[in-house]
Amino acid sequence: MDKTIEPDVWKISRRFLIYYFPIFLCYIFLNIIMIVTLNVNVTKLPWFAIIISNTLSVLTMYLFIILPILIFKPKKSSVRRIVMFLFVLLFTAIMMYIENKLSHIYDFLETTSISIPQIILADGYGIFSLGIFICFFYYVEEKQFITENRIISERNKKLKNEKMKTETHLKLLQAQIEPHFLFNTLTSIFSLTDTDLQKAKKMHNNFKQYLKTTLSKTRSNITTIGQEVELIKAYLEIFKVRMEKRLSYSVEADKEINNFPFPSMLIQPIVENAIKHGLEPKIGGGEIHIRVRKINAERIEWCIEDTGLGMSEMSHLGTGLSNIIDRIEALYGKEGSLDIKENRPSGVKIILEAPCV
Amino acid sequence: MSDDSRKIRAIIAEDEIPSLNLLKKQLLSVWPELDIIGEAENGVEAKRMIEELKPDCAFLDIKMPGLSGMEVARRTAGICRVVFITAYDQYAVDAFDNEAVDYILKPATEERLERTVNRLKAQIDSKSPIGNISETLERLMSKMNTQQPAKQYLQWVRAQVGDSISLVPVEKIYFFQAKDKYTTVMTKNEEYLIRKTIVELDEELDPDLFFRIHRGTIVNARFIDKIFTLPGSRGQLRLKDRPEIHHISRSYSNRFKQM
Repeated sequence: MDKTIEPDVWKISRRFLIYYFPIFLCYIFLNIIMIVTLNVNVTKLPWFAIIISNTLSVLTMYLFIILPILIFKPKKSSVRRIVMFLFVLLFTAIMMYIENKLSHIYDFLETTSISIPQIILADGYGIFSLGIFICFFYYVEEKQFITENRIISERNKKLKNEKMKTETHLKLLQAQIEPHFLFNTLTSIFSLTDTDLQKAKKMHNNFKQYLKTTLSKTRSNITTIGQEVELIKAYLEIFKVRMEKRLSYSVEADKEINNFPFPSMLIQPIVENAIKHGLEPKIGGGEIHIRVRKINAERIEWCIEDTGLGMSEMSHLGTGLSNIIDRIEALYGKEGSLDIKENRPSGVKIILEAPCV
Repeated sequence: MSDDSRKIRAIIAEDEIPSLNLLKKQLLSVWPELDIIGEAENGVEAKRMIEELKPDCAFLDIKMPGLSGMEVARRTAGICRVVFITAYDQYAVDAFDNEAVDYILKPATEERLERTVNRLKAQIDSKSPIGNISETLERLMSKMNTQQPAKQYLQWVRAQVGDSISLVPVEKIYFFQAKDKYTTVMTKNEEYLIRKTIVELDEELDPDLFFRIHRGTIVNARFIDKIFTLPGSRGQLRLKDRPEIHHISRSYSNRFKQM
């Protein structure tokens, strides 16, 4: 439902004071200059009269602005338009009236004896016109402000929804275990039962660990760094059996950050990408090194380095990585970053930085 | 010679050792007189083995480092009979069935393997000429590649950052803008400089995703937020999350008129 933003008198007043404070100062300053330059006998004029008159002026202006806002709620736009129109009419009428009266004002200013009510009255004319003038602009501004606020809040709501949607979508995408990987691993385990039972058991365990993490944890959003490291190790161990001497790897993680919460399945796809597109298709195979560490009190850094084929500018193989960039943005906003670099002499080096919450 | 021809010589090409060992064992159990004269761990090696050893048949894994099994078969067409090995891949399996190409689905069952072996044996025994399957293979390969666009577009931009080279995925790039001899690449929060010119980029980028709007500007269509076209003036364009206003020059404005 479209909920109208209720005018908050306090907030409007505060903005009013902030925006128009310089105008008030100018007004008071001009007022005093006018009185002095018009050769009014200032000594005869009590200072408190000037203060009172100026305070009254400000109050009048304030009322001019607050009252219509309180009477006409901003939702009724047609009414507001009529009010605005009436204001303009009124303003013109009053200006004409003041033009008429102006001579009278100067008349009594030239006399040396001025009574306090006269000053207030004289101020009153000026204030009335100025007040309406300011009011008109203020009203337009206020309307804009309210509309903008509504647009911003709507946009934020939409953005948040979109972010949640992308995050869920991306998680779903990554949660899909590739059938190739599943079948190849099962084939390997099956083959090993004949030739090397010990290895088969180990691989079976690793596969179980991998499935357990990928199948259950993708639903819960946050796991720990330790769990992600275990998942990666299980995944790499499976490939170690399949690729044998063509693959060598290392996974390093500081003990102290093992229990830090971390989004599940964020790093594993990067490793998967490196194996699938970098190392598996390379004739001699290669190495992959994964390191996670704390770089300062608030941030952690993952570094995933491989010596695989690397990425050519035309290779389509980066869609997995692109998904991860999207996920990092949805999760951390500007706080997280993913750098994809070329590794020397070959391969890819990926550095992921994220806040540790 | 007649003694030789009884023993059928084969090579197996498979990059995963456990799978290779299993297949070898299974093959020998259903076909004890088979002589496996070579085991290749990648496509390049397989091709060399076929060319040098000239076996009667070759078992080739589809997915191998270096060269794919199909590529090996195409390049060595006519030398020997070929049986492909493939893991779960419904698409490939359907394609093979359609083209009547021999294949083994791994992990293979003994019955399935036996059927393949019997057919192979019959072919070799009858000394029927080895059909030239290169045409079939080419058809197959092009069929399997239809998932990928025929023309390869730029997917990554290599940008020098300090002394390392960063790879920026094009879908994260908001716009490219010419700047002296270089080109500025702008992502949501980052700016990179590359040496590629706008003209080169215009040719290499996917024209459905990237619009050239000016002599010196290419924008990512996905990020276009607003297009201002005031009558009598040049069009302007703004991208999401970015403050810049880009001018659309007359010669590139046709694209937006259809919108």
